[in-house]
Amino acid sequence: MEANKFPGPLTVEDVRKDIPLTSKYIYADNGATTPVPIPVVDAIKGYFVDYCSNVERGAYAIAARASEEWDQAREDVAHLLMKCKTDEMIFTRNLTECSGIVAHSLQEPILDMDANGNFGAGDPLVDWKPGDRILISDMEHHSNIMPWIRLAHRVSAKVEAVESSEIGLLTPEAFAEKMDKNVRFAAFQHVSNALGTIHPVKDIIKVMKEVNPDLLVYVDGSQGPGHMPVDVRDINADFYGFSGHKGCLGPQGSGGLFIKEEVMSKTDPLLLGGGTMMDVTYSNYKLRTDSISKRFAAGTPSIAIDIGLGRAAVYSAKQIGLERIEEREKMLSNLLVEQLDGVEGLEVYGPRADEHRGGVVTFNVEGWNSMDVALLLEEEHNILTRSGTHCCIPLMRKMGVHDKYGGNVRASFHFFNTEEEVKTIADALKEMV
Amino acid sequence: MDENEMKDKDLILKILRENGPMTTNEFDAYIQEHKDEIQTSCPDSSLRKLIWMKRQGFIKGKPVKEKKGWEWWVEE
Ligand SMILES: Cc1ncc(COP(=O)(O)O)c(C=O)c1O
Repeated sequence: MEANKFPGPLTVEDVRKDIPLTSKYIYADNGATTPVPIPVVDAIKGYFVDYCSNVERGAYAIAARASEEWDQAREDVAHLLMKCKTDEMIFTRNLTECSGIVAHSLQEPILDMDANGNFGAGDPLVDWKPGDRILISDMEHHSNIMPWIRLAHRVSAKVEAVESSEIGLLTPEAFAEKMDKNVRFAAFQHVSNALGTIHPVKDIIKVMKEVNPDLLVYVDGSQGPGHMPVDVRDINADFYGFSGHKGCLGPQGSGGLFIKEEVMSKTDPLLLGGGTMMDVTYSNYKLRTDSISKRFAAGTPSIAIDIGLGRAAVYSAKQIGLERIEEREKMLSNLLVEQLDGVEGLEVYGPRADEHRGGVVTFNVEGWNSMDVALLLEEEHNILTRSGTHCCIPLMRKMGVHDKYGGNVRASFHFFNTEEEVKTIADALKEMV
Repeated sequence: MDENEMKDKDLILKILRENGPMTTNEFDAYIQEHKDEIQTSCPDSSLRKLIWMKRQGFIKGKPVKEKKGWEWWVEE
C-alpha cells in the first residue's frame, strides 16, 4: 500500500465513526476482542462481492486478484505489525493456533525430501534429553500453558513457571535466576491480559540467550501488535504469535505467527496438503521451497479474514499510528487507575508506573463476585467489560482472587475510548462501593 | 451454548427452585460443592449459564445492591 494513500492520521472521532458500536456502548473489552472498523468490513465484503475465488489455484483474473490481495495482506501484516519479512509470517486463526503450531514443531522434526531425493526426518528443532526444562511465567494465559504441559509430557521435559514481581512484571533477573543450559525452550507473554503489564521481553530474551544461545523462545504477543509498535527481530524472539482480532482491529478468527527465517526452514508444518508442497507421490512428498511460510497455509485459507487483517494492519499502523494508539491507551488506563486508586472498597491490580502498563486495568469491588460487577456495569451504564478468570486460572489463584471474587473485572481500552468514558466507569464503580 | 451444555438447564432450574432466590456467590458455591453432578468447562462458564437462562426467559435476575451482587430465581 502507498504510504500516503490515506489522508492524515485519523482522529478519535474518525475512528469512533468507523466503529458504530461505540455510539451504543462504552466498549471497554478490547482485551478480549476489538470491534472491527467499517473499512476492514468493507475490505472483507469487497472480496466476497468483487473477486470471491480461491488463492494460488485458478488462472482467471479474479483468482489472480484474490492471490494478489492475499499476498499483499500478508506483507502488510508482516511489515507493519511485526517488522519482519513477509516470508517469516504465517496467517493463523488466533494466538492459540500459533502455540499449537510451535508445539508441534518442537515435538516433531521436519519430514521432507532432501536435495538428493531422500525422504526422511531432518534435524529436530530441539533434541530433547532427560532433564531438559521448559520455562514459562506464572502469568500465562491457558493458551500459553497447556500446549507446553503436553509437549513436556511427550518429550519427557519439565515445565517450570518463573515468578512475576508483586506488580505483575516479568523481569530479566527472575528469568536469569532460573536459567541453565538445560532450558531448551521458553514461552512467555509480551503484555498481560490480566494485569496490563508490558514486559521487557527483549531484555529477558537477551539474558536467557546469554546462558543458552541455542534456546528457542516463543513470545505470546496476543495483546501486543496493534496496541503498540512491535519489532520481533529486535526483540530476538524465534517465534512470536499474536491475535489479529485484538489490538490490530482485525476480524475475529485472525492472527499471525512470526517464525525466524533460520528456524522456519527447519520447522515441520502442522497441516499438510494443498498449497504446501512441490511434489507428491504415493510414498513421499517434497515441501514447497519458493515460499517457506506458505508451507503453513495448507488447504483453502480464510481468505476474506486474512485480507481483512491486512486492511486492519494498514488501518491501525498507517491511518491511526501505533505510537498514537500506545500513548492513548496508556493515558486512558492511567487515568482510570488514578481515579480508582485509594477508593475504599476497591482493589486495583497491576503496576502504577505508566511505563509498564498498557491499556488494561483490572479491579474488584469488595464483596461482589467479579461477574456481578460486570453485569451491573452493563445493566446500568452500558459499559462492556470482561470479568472472571481471563483464561489465567493459575494467576488468579496466585493473586488470591479466584475463590474470593471469581477472578477480576477488566476494563481494556483502545484508541477510540475517551476520557469521558473512563470517568463514567470510575463513577459507576465509586457508586457501587 | 450447545445442546449438551444446556443439559444443565433443568438442573439449574431445580437448584434455583429449591434454594429460592440465590445470589451469584451462593450459586457459585453450590456449583463448587456439586461439581460431580454439574458439567462445567471453566469456572466462568457456570455463571454465564445463568445469564443465558435469563436471556432465554427461563429465570429472572436482578442486582440487589444490599446483597452486593445479583439475585437469580425462577418465577413460577
Ligand atoms: C495473553 C493472551 N494470550 C493468549 C490469548 C488467546 O488468544 P486467542 O483467543 O486469539 O487465541 C489471549 C486472549 O485473550 C491473551 O490475552
